[in-house]
Parts: sequence; structure tokens; C-alpha cells
Amino acid sequence: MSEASILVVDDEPDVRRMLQVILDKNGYGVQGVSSGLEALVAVNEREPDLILLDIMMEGMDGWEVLKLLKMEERTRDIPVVILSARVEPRDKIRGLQEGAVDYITKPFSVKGVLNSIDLILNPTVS
Amino acid sequence: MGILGSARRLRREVGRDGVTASSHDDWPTLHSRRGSSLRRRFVVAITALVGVVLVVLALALGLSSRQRLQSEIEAHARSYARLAVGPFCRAYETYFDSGHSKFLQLVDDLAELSSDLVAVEIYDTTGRVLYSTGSLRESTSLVPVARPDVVSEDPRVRAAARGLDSVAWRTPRPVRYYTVMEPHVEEWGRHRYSVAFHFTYDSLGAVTQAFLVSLVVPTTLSLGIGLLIAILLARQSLSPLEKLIAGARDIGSGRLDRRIELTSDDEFEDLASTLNRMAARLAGSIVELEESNLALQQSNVELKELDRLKSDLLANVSHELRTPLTSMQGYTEAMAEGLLGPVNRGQEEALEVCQRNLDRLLTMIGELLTFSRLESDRLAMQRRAVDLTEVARSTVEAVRSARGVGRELVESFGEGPFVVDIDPERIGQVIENLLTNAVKFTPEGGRIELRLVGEAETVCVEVADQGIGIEPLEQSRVFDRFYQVESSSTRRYGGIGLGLSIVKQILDAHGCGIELESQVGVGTTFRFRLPRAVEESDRDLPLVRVLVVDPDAAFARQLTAEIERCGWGWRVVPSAQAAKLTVQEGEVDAVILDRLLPDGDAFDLVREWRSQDATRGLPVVVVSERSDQPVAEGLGAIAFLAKPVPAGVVAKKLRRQLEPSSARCILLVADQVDRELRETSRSLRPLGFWWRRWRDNDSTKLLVDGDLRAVVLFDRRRSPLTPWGSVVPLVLAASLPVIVWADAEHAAEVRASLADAGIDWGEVVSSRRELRQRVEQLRRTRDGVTVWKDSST
Ligand SMILES: [Mg+2]
Repeated sequence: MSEASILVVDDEPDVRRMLQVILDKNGYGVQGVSSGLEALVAVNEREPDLILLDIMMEGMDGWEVLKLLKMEERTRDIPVVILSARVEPRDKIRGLQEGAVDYITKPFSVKGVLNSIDLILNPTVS
Repeated sequence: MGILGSARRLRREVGRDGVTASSHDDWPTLHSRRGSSLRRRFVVAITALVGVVLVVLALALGLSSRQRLQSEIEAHARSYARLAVGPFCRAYETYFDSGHSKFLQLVDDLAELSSDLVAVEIYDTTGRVLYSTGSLRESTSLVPVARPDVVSEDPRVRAAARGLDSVAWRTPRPVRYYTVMEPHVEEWGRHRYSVAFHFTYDSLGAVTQAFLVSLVVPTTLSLGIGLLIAILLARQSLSPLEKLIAGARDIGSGRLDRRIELTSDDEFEDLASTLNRMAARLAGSIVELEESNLALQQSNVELKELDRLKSDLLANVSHELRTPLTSMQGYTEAMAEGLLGPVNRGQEEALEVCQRNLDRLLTMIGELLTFSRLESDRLAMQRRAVDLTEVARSTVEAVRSARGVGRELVESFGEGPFVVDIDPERIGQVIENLLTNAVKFTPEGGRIELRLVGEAETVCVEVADQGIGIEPLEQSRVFDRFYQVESSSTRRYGGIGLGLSIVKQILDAHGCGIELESQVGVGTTFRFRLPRAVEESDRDLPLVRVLVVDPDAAFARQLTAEIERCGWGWRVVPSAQAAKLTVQEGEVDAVILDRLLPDGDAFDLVREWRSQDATRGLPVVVVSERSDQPVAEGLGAIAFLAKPVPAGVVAKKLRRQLEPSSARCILLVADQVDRELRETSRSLRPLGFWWRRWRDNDSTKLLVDGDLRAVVLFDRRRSPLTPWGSVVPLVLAASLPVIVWADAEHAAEVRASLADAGIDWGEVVSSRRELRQRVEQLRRTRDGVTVWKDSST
């Protein structure tokens, strides 16, 4: 199986870098972008297998990115995992209702994120 | 709500502009009947009055004229008798014996002079009849007939015949005539004869009759005129009343701008102006109600907005605090896990310290958030009946593993069970904060005791430490926020001084107080009492049932424990035969099957189930030797597990099947799951939804973490808000679609209580079919068609 590609969208350079390093070590192809707009551009160029999406970003925020991704036929099926420091229940519910596969709150357990990614990309039940 | 509701209702009725269908039906019939009957009564009364007066007048007139006529007749009779007595007697004397016909001629002539005279008799002074005329004319009255030469038997006649005075008397009914007895005194004073004249009253009857006849025409005429006057009078005097009725009807049907114009200068006018004032005031108060309604709505909106801003601020602060921790936590964990290369022992230790302090920081942020929420009442208590022992034990365990190092943590639980009515997570937090607090102030090697003591209606919880103790003066202040016993203690003992204040808030929200006993240098004991729960009577059905087919009882126990943790029901059977029968009953949602069964091969069973329509899709997990895997998968087992099966794996495999993550979850809040509800939820599963029963401990988490698609509130006991009162705030926060399954007859009631709770987008269904339709709509939502209210706002 070829390595799965993951797009990391986060305006916090440290978080982005940290995720890139860890995902890279775990054998995923990672691309990191720092804004919603860049994320859409990147997805347009090459669809990743999975997107890790931050919510609170300058300019276009994660909600908008998610909405646009779900509106587009081509990008609708890309699984999106939200990584956000917003812990309010209604944010979680909103994220899941708008089509995210998972909602992980920051700060997160690295193992938890890796587990979630693994579960999404390699579902054992077909 | 009451005022608003009635104002709204009133406005709605007023707004319907005029007369509603039902009131239109009621009014005119009532009105016309009453109006006409009143008028008729009026007319009849007046006419009758006129009639009675006329009749009485006529009678009086008739009677008096009859009396007058009668005395006239009698006076006439008497003067006739006085005048005629002489000629009669002279004629008798002269011609009776010689020239009888002349005598008769004279009598006839004399009799002709009075029309009322009916008979004449001549008597001598002894009362002997000398001559009688007999009946002179045909008369309606009977005429006395006296026989000649016979002395009268009547003493009156004999007395009158003897006397020298004129005597008259009336002979009463039925004969009715007037008799005048007149003596004839000759010129030289000799009295030889007396004459009796009999007169009839017949003319009186005729005159009376004529009089009466002449009265009929004017009477009838006057009656007619009276009637006419009565009608006119009735119309005139009743017309203000009719105006009043019409006006009142209009006002009553909601046209409050209607005024009754009446200038009759009487009580009707007073009544009309009273009605007008009433209508004006009603209109005024409706306007006022509408205004206050509007104002209330406004302030409601403002409050909501304020609340939203506050919680936004809270969320943002928490977000800002967490963000910088993210990369620290990530790197620390990654390094500790060796993801970034090998770490030596010293580094490992340093990373551990980092991790521990990160945890502390996170806890503090969490504390802050919790506290602010408690402050603004945003954290509703999710109370239910729980075993406090469980809560206490797991909390002790958590504290022990996290910070209890070097201190002795002792559980001292009295005779249970301690089933209490609490929000288990919050009370867990209370115990945790108290224990953490105790750990913080107890020197290493010290002893901390958590005690549960059963009391009649409460369970007493005590946390006792052997810490530094609290000065009496400071004891009342320890629950204040940000308060620490010594200002330097923040540095020495850590924490930001919110722990005890949160404890107090949560206990307050439970309606419980907290006491503390402390002695400096000896230790401190915190004590609070939780209310025991009312017995929960009926156990209801699980939404999912798993059949475990395994002869190994110990292994089956391990499986059933896992199943229970998922909130599912289970049944264990030891043989293939029993498994077959149980599945046939149709109450099984999934099967966990051991390959080796005492009465046959499990694979044969799987093969059989796969060949039948009813059981083809039944999820089956096979537990066996590794070498069996290909065969099992070939048969269509959803999962294959080799013994020994690690904990948690079976549940995970089944959950994927029974609660696939691609589908969304519908949270079922039901007072009780009965067979029909269970069947319904099962029948809707193929639509791609999985159902979770509201169980307080994991449902809050589900609302937070889960893929919730909707909430279905099921209410059999017709008490719409009771079972799910605590769910409503969460549902509100999530703006989740709400479907309520209630009896059709209670639908309106349920809808109203939903509206009261602030959920105005709920759907009420009353049958399995309707529920299915709604759920199908939900599925379309997932496919991009938005059916529900936009939940992003
Ligand atoms: Mg961000």
C-alpha cells in the first residue's frame, strides 16, 4: 500500500510542524498549510486522503473550509478530522453535523490522533 | 407564559376580523328569538290591558244603564197604574155585567197604553179575584194567571187588596215581573176594588242586548288601535335594546373598535356608554399586553445574546489557553513514545515531569472553565440514581494513580448500597477536588480517608486528612474563590484556589451544604450529605441484544461484561441448539459464537443462518483457532477472533457492525424502552442510523463527542418533560433535530411543552410509520438535502 497523504491545516506554525514531524515518522505523506485558502488551493491541486483541520484561523476559518469542501462534489468524500482548542459541546456537535469524521480537542494525545487517522484510513470492516 | 399566552390567544381571536364561524352560528338565533319574544310579550300585554279596561268599562256601563232602565220601567208602571186604576174600575162597575164586550174593549184600550203591561186583575177588598185579563201579550216572561172568584193565596195580594195604599213588588226570577197593586177609592171615599197590574221586564232585555251589540264595534276598533299602538310603542322602546344587542355582539366577537351610538336619554344610554367604555378598555389592555409581550421578547433576545457573548468569551479564553499547550503536549508525548528517536533515562524522567506539569496546567484550565460555567449556571446537573460506591471508588483510583504518591488513601465504606440522586460526574469532581486538596496539604506518608456512611435519607460523605489544618478564622473563607489559606501556599502547594469553590458550587446545585472540621496541625475533615434516590422500579429492555454462544462460562463472563459496558443486553447459551432457538425467536441483534460447541460445529450454524432470509444479515463474530479464519470469513462472519481475545476487542468489532461510524447516531431519550420501541428502533437500523439509549453517564459524552444526528424523545407516560428535562438544555445547545413520539391525543400538549422548553423546531410523531418518515428525512439531510432548520446559527 502506498503511503497515505494527509493535509495539515493550522495557523499555528508550532502545531503544524509538530504534526508534520509525527505523521511523517509514522509513514504518512504530509503537507502543511497555514490558512483556509491555502488548504483549498492544496486540495484543488491534489486531493489528500485525509485532512486535519484547525478551526480558529485568520481569514477563512475551519468552518468555511469544511463547508466548501462538503459542497464540492470532488472533495466531499475526503475525510476531515477537526483538531481544535474549542471544547464547547456545541462546537463539537456542529463540526460533526457539518460532516467532519472526528473532532479532537487540543491539546490532544498524539496516540489518539494516530489511532483516529488509522481507523479512518484502514477500516477493517468493508 | 400565562399572560403572554392569553394575550396571544386574545390577539389571535381579535385578529380574525369580525365574527368567527362558531360565534356567528350561536348569536343570531339567540338574538332573534329573544327579541321577538320580548316584543310579542310587550304587545300582548298592552293589548290585553286595553281589552280588559274596555270590557270592564262596557260591563259597568251596561249594568248601570240596565238599572236605570229598570227603575224607569217601574216608575212608568207605577204612574200607569195610578192613572189606569180609575178607568178600569169604572169600566168594571159600569160594563162588566151589562155590555161585557164594551168592557173588554175598554180593557184592551187601556192595556194598549202600556207596552210593558202583561196582565191586569181586579180584586175586591177580601182579595177575591173579580176579573183577570189573563195574558195580554206574548211575553218571554211567564204571566201570573189568577182564577176568578177565588180568594188569592198570596198574602201580599190579600193585604194589598185590603189596604188603601199603592203597593208594588218585584217577582224574582224565574218569573220576573213587576206587580203594582193600586186601590181604587171612589170619589166619596169608598174602597171596593183594588187592581193588580203586572208588568214585564222584557223590554229591558232587548234594550240591554241592543246596547251590547252597539258596543262590539267600537270595542273591537279600540282593541285594534290599541294593538297598533302597542306594536309601535314596543318597537320604539325596544329599538335601543336591539342596538345594544347588536353592538355587544360585535364587541363580543372581537371588533373592539365598535361603539354603540345611542341617545335615548335613559338607562339604555347608560348601558351603551358602559359597554363602550368596556370595549375601549379591553382594546387598551390588549395593546398593552402586546407591547409588554414585545418587550419581553426583546429582553429575552437580549439576554440570550448576552449569554451567547459570555459563552463565546469563555470558549475563546479557553481556546487561547489551550493552543500553546498543543505543540508542547504533542512533542512531549511523541518524545516519550520514542517517535522522535531514542531517549535516555534522564530525558525520559524530564519528559515525565513535563507531562505531569502539562496535565496540571490543563486541569487548571479545565477548572477555570468549569467554574465560569457554574458561575453562569450553564452547567446543568444531570441527576439520576447512581451507586455512590462506584463513583467514589473510581475517583479514589484516579487520584491515587495521578497524585496520591506517598500518601495512604483509604476507602472506608459503610454498609451499602448507597444509591443516591446526583450528577455522578459532578459529584465525582467534588470528591476528586476534596481528595486532591487533602493530598496537597497532607505531608508524605500521611493518611487520607474517604468515608461513606449510610443515613436514613442521605448518604454522608467525609474526606478526612492529616494535613496542616485550617485556622478557625479562615474556615469560613476556604470556599471563596481564589482563596488559599496562606498567600504563599499557591507557590508551595500549587493550584489556583478554585477547587473548593467548585465543590461548594456543585453541592449547592444539588441542594446540599458542606461542613468542615479542622484542627491546626491535626487535620481537616470535609463532610456533605447526598440524598438517597427513590427506588427505580422497572428495568427496561436494552435496545441491542447480543447472544453469546459459548460453553466456557468464564470467557462468556468476560464477553458479557464488555457488552454491558456498551449499554447492550445479552444472553448466554452453551449450545448450538439453544443458539438456533434463541435466534429463531427474533430477539437477537448479533451473535458471538465459539467454534467448538458441545453439540456441533458453529460453522454449520453460520451456514444455516446465511442461507435464510431472516438471518442472512445477522452480524456474527466467530471465536476460534487462528487457522479457522479463512473459513469463517468465507462464511460471512463479520469478524474473527483468536483466543485469547484481548479485552475490548469484541465490543469494538460489534460496535462497528451495530453502530457503524459512517452512520449517525440518534439519541433515544425514553422513560422506558418497551417492546414496541425496541422493535421500531431495530426496524430503522437499516436506514443507516444507530440508536443510543439515553444513559446519563455516557449520553452527555455522546452529545459532546458523538455523531449525533437527532434526538428522539419517547414518552409513554404522558408526562412530556419529566424524563427528559435534563436533556433539553443540551439539545438546545446542540440545536439538534428533535422528534417526539407521543400519543396523537397528547401531541398538542407535548408541542406546547417543547415550546416552553425553548425548542421550537421539534416534530411530534405518533406512530411508527411517521417516525420512519422523519428518520428517512434525516437520511436525506445527510445526502445534502437540508430538511431541518439550519443548525449552524
Ligand atoms: Mg488556530
